[in-house]
Amino acid sequence: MRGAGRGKAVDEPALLSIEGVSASFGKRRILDDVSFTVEPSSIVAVTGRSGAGKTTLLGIISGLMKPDGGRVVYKGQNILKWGDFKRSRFRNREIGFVFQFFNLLPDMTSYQNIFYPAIISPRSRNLKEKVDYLVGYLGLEKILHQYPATLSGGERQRVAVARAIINNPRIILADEPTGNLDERSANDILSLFKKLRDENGMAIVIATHDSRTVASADVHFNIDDARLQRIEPPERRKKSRRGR
Amino acid sequence: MKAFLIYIGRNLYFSLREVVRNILRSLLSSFGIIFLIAFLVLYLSLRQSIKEYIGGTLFGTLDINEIVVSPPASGAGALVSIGGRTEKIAPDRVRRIRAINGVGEINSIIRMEYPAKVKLEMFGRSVREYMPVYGISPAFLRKSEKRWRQFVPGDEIPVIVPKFVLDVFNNLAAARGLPQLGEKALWGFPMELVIETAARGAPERKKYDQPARVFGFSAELPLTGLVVPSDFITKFAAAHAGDPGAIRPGFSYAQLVVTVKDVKDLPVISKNIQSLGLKVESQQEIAAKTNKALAVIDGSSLVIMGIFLFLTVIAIFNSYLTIVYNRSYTFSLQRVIGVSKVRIILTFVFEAALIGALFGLIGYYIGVMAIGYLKHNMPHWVPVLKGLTLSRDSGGLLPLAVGLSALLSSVSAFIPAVFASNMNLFRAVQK
Ligand SMILES: Nc1ncnc2c1ncn2[C@@H]1O[C@H](COP(=O)(O)OP(=O)(O)O)[C@@H](O)[C@H]1O
Ligand SMILES: [Mg+2]
Repeated sequence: MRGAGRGKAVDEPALLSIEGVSASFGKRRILDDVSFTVEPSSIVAVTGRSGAGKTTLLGIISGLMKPDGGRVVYKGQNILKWGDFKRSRFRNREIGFVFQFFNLLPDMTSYQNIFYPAIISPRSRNLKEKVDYLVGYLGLEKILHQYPATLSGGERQRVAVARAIINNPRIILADEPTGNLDERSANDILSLFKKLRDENGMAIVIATHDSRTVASADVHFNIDDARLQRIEPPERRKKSRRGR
Repeated sequence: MKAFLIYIGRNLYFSLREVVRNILRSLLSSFGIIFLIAFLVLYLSLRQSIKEYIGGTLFGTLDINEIVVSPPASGAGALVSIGGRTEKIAPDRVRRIRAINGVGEINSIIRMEYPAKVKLEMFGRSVREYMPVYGISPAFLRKSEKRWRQFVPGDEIPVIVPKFVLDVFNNLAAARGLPQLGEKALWGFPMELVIETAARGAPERKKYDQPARVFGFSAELPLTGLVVPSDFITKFAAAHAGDPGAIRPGFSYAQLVVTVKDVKDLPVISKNIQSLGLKVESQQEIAAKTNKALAVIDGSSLVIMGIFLFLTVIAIFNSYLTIVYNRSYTFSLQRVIGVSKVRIILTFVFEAALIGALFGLIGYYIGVMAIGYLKHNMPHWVPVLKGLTLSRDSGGLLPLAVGLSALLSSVSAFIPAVFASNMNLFRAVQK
């Protein structure tokens, strides 16, 4: 199934493709023969009722969980064949994570949290400038030296997004990023994602229940009874808006 | 290069932060490690002191190339014979030893065979007592007595009083209602030796008064009588061999110290002397006995430390497991952010090593303090060990204590570290 490839040659390899992935916990099958592709500069929404397997799917894409079968191909390579070291580096450099519960480290300031993924790699350079740039980009100046416990949900999520993109990844995996936010903060995060898609060419895969998130997405998949299905948008208006 | 140093520095900073956070958490369960290290330091110092003590008392006058030869029935190196007869080494045996190939100088402890009384004036009363008189050559004293060259016969015969004899003397004094005398009071004390050249019951006995003076005291000479320069005895015996009813020979050998020209020959010569029916002791043999005794000490200490070690490892393991559980959120988040399993394990083990090193340091100083405490109190508890001077470690054991503790801690933390590396945020978040 070819996903969000607008304006691209059909045979050009996708940034990320999930091919025939199945997963189960014990005897329960959570994902059954799931396939889809993710293109650069796109927002992919994955919906499904609670317990449908959205988080599991993100775990498999990031190489943190092993599926029963199938391939996860990034830039032509099956990441499931990689060892832990290579998969860790892949997560560190190519992927950024955003979670429903923000998942910041409570004993570090916003600044240190944003910094953290970068200190893992000895090759990270000009870190201070990068952080400074992100802080300006996301408007985090005032809360930079506060600890997560003193921040609002929206502020925490913006810090989490900053952390996710400090290493300039190609893909952001977001697990219900707006699920714990008020409407305004949720909108902030969504426009941030769009900005990253449009200005940085990032691909953003969002597991969500939220209809506004789905509305902002370029592609929409739904998991039902372990199977993934593409949902075509009801109106074509969205597509024309993206067609620049 | 600079970027790499910054990278190392940053990682060290975050590690140290964790260490500081975890010190209190791991303190209780790591008490074992402190005890273990303290015990180890104590044990090693004690072992060293015992070794030195044994070496000091037994080898005090004995060199590596010397063999102590004693009469066959005497106890280990002892010449003590209270009431009974002192065993002797016959003069022909001495000649035969001298004839053995490779034997050098022979120093001897001789015993004067003439009865002798000690006569001294004390508190206005005159004390007279029969007492054995032994002779040694000044060379015997070269390690224990600075004035050993002065230990030669003159107008006044220098006398060394073995500790044992002083005790006996004081007991006698007490029985007669006289005050006890310490070494200080007796130093340089004048006396007279009244020597009779014939046996005590003989009808015609010549007596010679010989002025003498207390030259010193000795804890090393296991003798039951006074000690004078052997020259004096041999010359006196030669001069008075013709006295009516004189005892002959005028002296006998009580103990020999045989010097071996080449240490390599010592075992063979030692066997040769043994075959003459004499008791033989050398540093090598004493060393073997010492090692046997130390092996027993080592064995029991190792069992104790083994049990300690086992309990400590379990305790640390348990404590780190708790830490892993408490930090599971952090570990799984680190995994998400792209920290590899190996790196989580290494970091965790490194932190454990740092904490272990710290506890090792504490344990070391507790051990040193315990040594200081024992040093003052052990002689009161176990008077036999009065001569044992515990030496405080001067820092030589510190690297061992710290290193061992760090190793122990990091090894115990390894399995919890593996658990930590397998933390999965997707599970942590889902709960
Ligand atoms: N570690 C696990 N062991 C057993 N079952 C699990 C585990 N993790 C998730 N599940 C189950 O798998 C299903 C899918 O979970 P998840 O992917 O978190 O769903 P979603 O994110 O769509 O709500 C759920 O029914 C959940 O109970
Ligand atoms: Mg979920």
